[in-house]
Parts: sequence; structure tokens; C-alpha cells
Amino acid sequence: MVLDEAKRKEVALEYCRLMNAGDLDGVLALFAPDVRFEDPVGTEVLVGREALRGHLGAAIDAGIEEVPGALTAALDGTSVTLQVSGTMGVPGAGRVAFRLVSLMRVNGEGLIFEVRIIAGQSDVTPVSAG
Amino acid sequence: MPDEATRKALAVAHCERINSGDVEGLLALYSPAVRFEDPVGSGQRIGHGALRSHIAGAVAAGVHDAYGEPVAAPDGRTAAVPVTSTMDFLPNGPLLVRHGLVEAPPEPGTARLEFTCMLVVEVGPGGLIEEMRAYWGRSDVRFLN
Repeated sequence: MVLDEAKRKEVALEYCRLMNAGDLDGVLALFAPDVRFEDPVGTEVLVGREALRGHLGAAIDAGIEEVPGALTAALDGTSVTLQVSGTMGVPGAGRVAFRLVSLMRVNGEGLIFEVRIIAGQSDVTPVSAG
Repeated sequence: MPDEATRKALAVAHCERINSGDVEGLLALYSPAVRFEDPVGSGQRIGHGALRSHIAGAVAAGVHDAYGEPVAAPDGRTAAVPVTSTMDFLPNGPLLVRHGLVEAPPEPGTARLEFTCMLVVEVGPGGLIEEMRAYWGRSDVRFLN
């Protein structure tokens, strides 16, 4: 079974909505039990929902605010991509602005089974006070 | 290993060379053994010859790529940029119709298409793009007129 493009896009947007709402359990429920999550690409791949709990919980605790941008699907029946801009707190650095592109794959049950986040040091900038 | 700025510049140069119709200049950004898939799910193609044919078709359709802010990953290879591409329905549109990606327009000779796309490139140690993937689906294509 393949999830259609519109529904895959809804899953990607729901991820941002739940992160912004601070709903960690809601976010985790979007993922397949054996999800592979690489954030950012080039770092350790987290495997499984529980491995994500600490990672995404830390982002929520840091007050992450995500603004979704360009959103696309693909013809492979699983992929959806989302451009995100946002801000979050970083210990010792105040609040920072970031840009990223998320490459997600969603299975036929509507669960995200792979996430690869493209963002590097040059995509993070301090937010000026005042 | 190409730094983040270099990889972002390559992704943007892809768009700018398409906009100037510079097919050979675009190929110069790519490894001769490049693997590319546009769109993802349509099947991977390999090499400059296949890429030349693919890009030349878009240039013949008067393609214009409006790109957004690029991003790059700390893996030393990957960059991505969101792109909105516009091009004439002809000459490539009938192929899209055959694959069920768009409906046949009432006036093919004047119809123009818009694609929302995420372009992802992987750059090798020598500074050439070794892999390119364009993510777009049926829901990302529309007629402008």
C-alpha cells in the first residue's frame, strides 16, 4: 500500500505542528517503531522511537519554533520533502535561527520510517537581541 | 572535501546555468559518472550523455528555475535547494501526459507548467556533483495559464 502525495505532505506538516505545540508523544506517534532519523546528515543515525524521544524532547525543551516552507513529494510512493525555517534556544548561545531541508519517507500506514535532515553550521545564525 | 558554501554554490549554479541555457556549462558542474533521478521515483540515469539530453529538453522548453535558500549538511557531500521551475508545455509535456503526471492542456502551444521541486546534490572530493535527485510529484505540477 502506498500513501498518496497529499497525505504524505500532511504528515510532514503535522510533524512541524506537533513540534511547535510541544507535543512530544504526539510527534513520536508519527514515526514507525524502527524509524531511522539522521539529524543532520553526516551524524549518528538514531534508530527507533525511543531513541528519538531524547533528541526531539531536547528540541521541544529548547522552545523550537518551526515555520514550514516549500513542500514536495516524489514519484517513489514514499518521499516527501519540506523546507523549514525556525528558531530555538541553545545553551550559552541564546536563541538561534536555522534553515533546514527535511527528506522524509512515509510508509503505507502513514508512519514516517526515515528522516534525513540537511542543515549545517552555515545554516544557523544567532538571533540578535531586541 | 568541499565546504558548505562550495556545495551550496554548486546547487545554485545548477539553476543559474539552466536559466542561461548553458547546457555544457551545467555539465561542467557534474562528474562524468553522475547518477541522477528527476523526479525521484522515475528511475536513476547515469552519465553526462543522459544528463545532457535531460537538461537540453528543459532548455528547449524555455525553463526558468527560481531558487530559494540553499542548505548543506555536515557530511561533506550534501546540499539542497528548493526550486520553482517554469517551462513551456512543449516539447516535453506530451511525455508527462503519457506518464499521467499532467492532463493534456486545451492549447498545448501556449501552455506553461510550474513545478515545485527540491533539488538535492551530493558533491565529491573533487568538487563535482556526483549525484542529483529532484523531488517532485504529481501534486507539485500545475499549469500557469
